Amino acid sequence: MEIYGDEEHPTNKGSFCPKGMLTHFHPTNPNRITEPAMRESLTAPFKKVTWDEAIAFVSGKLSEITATSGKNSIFIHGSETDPFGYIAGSTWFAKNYGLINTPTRFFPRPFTSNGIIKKIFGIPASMLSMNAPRDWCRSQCILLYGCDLASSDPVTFGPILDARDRGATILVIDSRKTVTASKATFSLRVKPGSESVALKGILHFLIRKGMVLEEFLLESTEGFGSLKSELESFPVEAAARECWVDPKDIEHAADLIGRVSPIQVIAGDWNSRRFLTDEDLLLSAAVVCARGSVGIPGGGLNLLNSSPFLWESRLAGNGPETAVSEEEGFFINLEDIGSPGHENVGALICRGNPWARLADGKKTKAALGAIPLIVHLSSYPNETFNQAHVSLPVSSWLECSSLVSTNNGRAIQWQHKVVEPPGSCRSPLQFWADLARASGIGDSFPWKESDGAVDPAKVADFFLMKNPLTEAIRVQHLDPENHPPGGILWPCVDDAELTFEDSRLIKGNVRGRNILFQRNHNFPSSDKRFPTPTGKITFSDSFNTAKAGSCYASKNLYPLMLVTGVLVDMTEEFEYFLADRRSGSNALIVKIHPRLGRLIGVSNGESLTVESDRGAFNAPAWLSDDIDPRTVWCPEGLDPYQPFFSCDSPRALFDLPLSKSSSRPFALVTVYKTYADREATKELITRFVEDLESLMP
Amino acid sequence: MKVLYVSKNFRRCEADLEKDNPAELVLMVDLDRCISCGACEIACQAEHAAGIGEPAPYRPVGVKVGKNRTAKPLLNMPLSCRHCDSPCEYYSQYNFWSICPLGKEHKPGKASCDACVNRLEKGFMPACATRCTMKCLYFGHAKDVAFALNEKRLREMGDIEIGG
Repeated sequence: MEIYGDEEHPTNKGSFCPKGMLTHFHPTNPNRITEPAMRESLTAPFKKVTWDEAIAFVSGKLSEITATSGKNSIFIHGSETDPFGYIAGSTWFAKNYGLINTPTRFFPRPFTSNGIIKKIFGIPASMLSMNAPRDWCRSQCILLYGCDLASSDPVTFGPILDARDRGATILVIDSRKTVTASKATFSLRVKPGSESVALKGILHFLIRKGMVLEEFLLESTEGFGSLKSELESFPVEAAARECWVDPKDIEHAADLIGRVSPIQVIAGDWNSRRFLTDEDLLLSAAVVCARGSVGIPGGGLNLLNSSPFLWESRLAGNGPETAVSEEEGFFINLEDIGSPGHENVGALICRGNPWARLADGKKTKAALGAIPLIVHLSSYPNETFNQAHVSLPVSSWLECSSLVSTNNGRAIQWQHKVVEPPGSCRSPLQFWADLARASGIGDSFPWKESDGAVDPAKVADFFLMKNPLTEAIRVQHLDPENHPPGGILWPCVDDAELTFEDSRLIKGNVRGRNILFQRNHNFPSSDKRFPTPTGKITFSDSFNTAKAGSCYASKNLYPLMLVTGVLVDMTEEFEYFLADRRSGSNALIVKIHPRLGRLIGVSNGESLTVESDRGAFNAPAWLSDDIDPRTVWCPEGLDPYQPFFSCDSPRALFDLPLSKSSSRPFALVTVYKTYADREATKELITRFVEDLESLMP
Repeated sequence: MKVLYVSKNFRRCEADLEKDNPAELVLMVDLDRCISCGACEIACQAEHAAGIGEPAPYRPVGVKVGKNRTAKPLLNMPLSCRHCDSPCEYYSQYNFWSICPLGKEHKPGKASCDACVNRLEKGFMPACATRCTMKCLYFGHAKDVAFALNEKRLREMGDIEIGG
């Protein structure tokens, strides 16, 4: 089997990321889990069973747990980037089984229907993608805010480089020195967690220099005035001091934004979006509005991984207007399980590898280990698989037809099954349908064939029809065999929108409406351009003026800041096929500044311990002067159970996410060479950091 | 085969492909677009691997430069054998740019880049140029690559409107 890109596809133009290029090895990968397995306890070895036995066991256990601890003790974990089949199936199963703990409860809070973007633009942040990637080359300036697209979404980074090659300015604000930043026209490397402070400085400069498009603000926004007066009391110098940069750099960045129009802001990637706070989103929206770049080609605020589906637990209508606003306390983190309020956990169903990204590793994993039943939909023997009681093998994207609804291009696409799944692997949808049948609610799955198999096209049509933003789209319109590649852009509520857009301003190369919130176009199922109560972009909330660092209480104990990032060439699942790469070049490594290295006597490649009050791990040091001496950088996404590159996840050192805010993007740590000189090193580093800070203007 | 690295950050850019031997093949690497993802390396390996799980008979194109294989690389850029006149024994640790990407690991029995002759015969581009994530590898005869290079230089000038 071979894999080739479709050169006519508007987003990727036939290119892959390294991982994508290897996905055709999924069916033949010897590491792949292809048979269902079960075990009595976490210490016992797995025993092979048949698919039906495993399903019968899970459904029996679920009814047992329902009888003893109630349905509210059953949790289905999911993330917003999970495949359509898993989320659609689980949400529908939960609705019919009477579960309230759907994957939606685990989605990041600012992105859902009571987040700040919903108040500003009238649609939730999970739907906010104003222009499609092929329109990005019309931008004059693209601000990449807290995202490392070159590593996390290389294919989406292509259109950004195309825009740069056509003369657009690329600006990056990030706490890490990333590959993305190295390709940018100008980049600000700020203190971890203070990206929003830099944005405040930029907005202050724009307002002071009169680089704000008053005409647009008057016509299309409301409440920007109060935001403006708040920002006026936030001088560039104060912002610069707080985020470790030169005031001139903030002014230069603001100047680059203020000189051109349209501008575009891209905030967060699939990995870093869970660190975005309401404040980040509010300020990003304010920058876009200040330059009047909403609803025009080349302008907008794009939050990647957008999806038209909200997966509201009640699935009532499932659109922006009818969305049920979820009460406070609805959202939980996987780390919260076992904590007060969520002690009663009987079962957890999950997929992927959430264990490798758990904050406060030791404690959280101990709490999760006490759950009586963990069901894992497995592909590879990762850490989550090793913590499960029941493992059911699921097919990869090559092995089942599916709707592709979550992507960076605001498009709905369809992909066909290419090969038969290996062994007993079945699609995630089939898992939910089988579990429903075994639990006696099989009849509520209207897309099931008489022989129990699930028709993925019927499922897709069912959910597309239910969603007021995709009413006009059907699977038959999406089939890439008979239709142009690239899918259809949503919102699409009218049959007339199923074709290419062709107007004086916009010539689309993806079917559907390219620009969201166009002038003289009402938002679907609304009689206004913006579906807010006022019909305008509404800035009703003031930003949180509390400083980013209430965490400084423990600063003396842990003087350094640990930030993490993903690696573009992280192909750990396929290392079997890449014999020559097994030299360990991708394994966990700690990047520190050479000055810090000299201070604690560590040279390149020497073992170093990183410690926080949550735990510690060992890794070889990598001395590099492209990070701030006060920070430490680690790649994330590894886990100790990977057959290749096994090591502890650095996320285990992070603090628990607070229940009412986003996770913090850094952890306070200290580093040392041997345990014997731990205290002495800590003192040295504390003094070193204090010296650096006293040198700041 | 000649390998040509281009970037607008290079101080000297004097590649004049017009004067070169028109029959010679050129692999052009646009370093302004390269994100060192390693797709070229994987493509090379997959192309030349004897079978699944077998080590590649070729030392593949590498994107990492560095003397120490265990530490992180000093520099990331796509490199391949340039079939230069100076053989690898002249590897010098003092002159960075003369380090052969095959470096010390080069074994006499192992072949180096063959410009994917098997693919060229079938009318395909080399594996690395086909599979590059960021489309920064161009391959062809000198005059075709010169076209791509001129196009890149024009793009850097921005949009130009003529007439009207």
